[in-house]
Amino acid sequence: MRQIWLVNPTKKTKWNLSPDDTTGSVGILYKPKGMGYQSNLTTKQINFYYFLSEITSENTNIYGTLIFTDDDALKRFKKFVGDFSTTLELHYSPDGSVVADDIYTPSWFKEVIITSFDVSEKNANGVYEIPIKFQTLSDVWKRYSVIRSTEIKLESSGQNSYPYFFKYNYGGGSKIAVDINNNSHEVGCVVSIKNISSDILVSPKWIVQYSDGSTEQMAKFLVYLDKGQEIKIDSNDLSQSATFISSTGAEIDINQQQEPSWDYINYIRLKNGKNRVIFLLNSNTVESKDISVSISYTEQTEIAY
Amino acid sequence: MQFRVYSRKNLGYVDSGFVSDNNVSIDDDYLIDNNSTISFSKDTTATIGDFIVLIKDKGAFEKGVIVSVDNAEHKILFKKFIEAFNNNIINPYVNSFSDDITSLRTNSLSALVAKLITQGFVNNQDTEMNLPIGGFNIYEQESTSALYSYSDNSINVKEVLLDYFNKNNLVVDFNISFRPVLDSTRRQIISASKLMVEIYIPASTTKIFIKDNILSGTIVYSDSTIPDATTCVVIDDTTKEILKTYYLKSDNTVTDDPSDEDRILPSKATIVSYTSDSVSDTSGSTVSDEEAIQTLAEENLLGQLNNTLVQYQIPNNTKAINLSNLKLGDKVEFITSLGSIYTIYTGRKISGNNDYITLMFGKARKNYTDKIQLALRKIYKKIGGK
Repeated sequence: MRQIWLVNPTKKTKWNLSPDDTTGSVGILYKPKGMGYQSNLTTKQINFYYFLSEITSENTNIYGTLIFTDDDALKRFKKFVGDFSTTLELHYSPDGSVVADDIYTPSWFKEVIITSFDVSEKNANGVYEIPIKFQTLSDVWKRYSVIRSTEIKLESSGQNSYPYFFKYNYGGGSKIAVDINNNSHEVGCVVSIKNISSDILVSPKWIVQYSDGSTEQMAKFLVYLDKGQEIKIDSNDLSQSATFISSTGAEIDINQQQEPSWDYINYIRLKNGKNRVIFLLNSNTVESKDISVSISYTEQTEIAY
Repeated sequence: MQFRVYSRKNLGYVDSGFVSDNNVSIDDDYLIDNNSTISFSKDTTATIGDFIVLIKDKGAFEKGVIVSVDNAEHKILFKKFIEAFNNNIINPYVNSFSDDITSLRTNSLSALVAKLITQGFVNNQDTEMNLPIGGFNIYEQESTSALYSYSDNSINVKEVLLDYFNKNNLVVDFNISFRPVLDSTRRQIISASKLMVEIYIPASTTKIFIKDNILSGTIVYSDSTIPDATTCVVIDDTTKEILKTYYLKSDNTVTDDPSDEDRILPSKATIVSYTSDSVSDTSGSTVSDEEAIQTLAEENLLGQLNNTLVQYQIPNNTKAINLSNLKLGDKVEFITSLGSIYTIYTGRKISGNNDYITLMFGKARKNYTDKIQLALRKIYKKIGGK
């Protein structure tokens, strides 16, 4: 059975809108509408052929009826939302493969604000039937995804293949690479590189190659990373930033230390399809060892399956 | 897409950020002074005069000079690189003009342009006006001679550059030779980058062909205006005798042979008078009458050729035309079922999330605002010249 639940990200609390056990004091979302996707196309005709000239996706709102089995459920829901202008996450698992209590499997969600909550009297069955409208803040469903290597030992003789990360021959040397299969839209990502070894890591560089044949993107930051120091490069649309994190946790903006050449976009994006990210990590003298790398991104798709 | 802003003073980092394809509007029509616009979601530290670059994947998708920063609406307006030269400088050749010298002749137009830029933007007494120019990359495909007839005390370098684009297809753009150096604290980049000014005069013989068999590409507007002059009759100022007659050719050169196969027809004459010794070399030596008369005819005929406008729409991801190979000023021949249109590439327009781009060819314009701009520029030339 499909699963829907709300998350209040500020309070870190959840409200299950499709509980398995409906006998107690619960609130259930009945007949939700607007879980799909809509877009507007402008086409251009040449002879008998149509060419796509403009595509605009439409922000579809989600409607439904909330059923509260008793007054207590309604009171608890009010407490859960708190300020009704709070942005909530509406999580949705159409096939029920992810449930609200699962904290390990990422699920699809949209950011929403409740813009209509029409409280009325109890009906003949003694329950509240409240039409509700969620104004969506995104046209697409999102899902968090993190790929992390805890420690990369480039020259260790034993096991070299950590989950996802592998050795890749690039430019005549053995580099660390990761393949990310992005089944969603082109998205930004957060790349973190932490130096664990005592060799200083000099100006880390990474390249992303795309399977769709489009031009590769490159990033480079002119920084020196001592042991325990980290850089975090965020290329998401609204939160783009470049941060240096010292071993004590102090954060410094290093935007101005990005490679100035326009051959380097510096904030790489993950496109639809296979993305191969290759890391070129060197100390002053030798290729670096013991580096921790992670890439996290949010999948974005029209239909939450 | 990313935007990145480099300081006008030393090309150091100023700002960067994400800009959605929907929020980019590009109009880099070289002939008309239009703005390109980007809007984004944060405050910017960019200032007017700084250089801006848009990066799609790798390399500069668009380059320009910022003309307006709006932090309330989070918008940056920018123009083509020649906007950096929109300033008045002392005419470097003003001493050369005397009562009997009306024009100076140069054998290398790009060297003359480099001298103007050096005078105004490298060696200017007001150092704030100087740009961090490291040198000139000159791509003059063939030696181009031209006349310099601005005898006023001051000249606007941008207007002069546009005039040479009109007559000789000379295009000025920039590149940056990047040399970032970290300071001793490793927390600051000291910019030792240099601005390279690129002066490009396309070859008259090479052409790019666009055939009308590209299904998704359409000529949305085409207008061929008859040039104001295709024949130049040079007469002696005192005796009124015909000294020589030159005819415009389709490769934007002139010939004295009236039966030349490449002559542009119909014949439309302009008559100019010539006084002996009225033209001097830029280095001071006199120019022979023959050379001077030819350059005078060129001055009046070149630039007439591309008095056309072709607007061509094509999907921006097309593989039928290599858009990155198309340089401003390049000669283009449209081959249609009704015959060829000879023109040159003058700019492109890209707006929002429209998957189509419009390429502009030729030096005539359709919109009245554009036509007024061109007409006003001609008035300026009369004041500036003699």
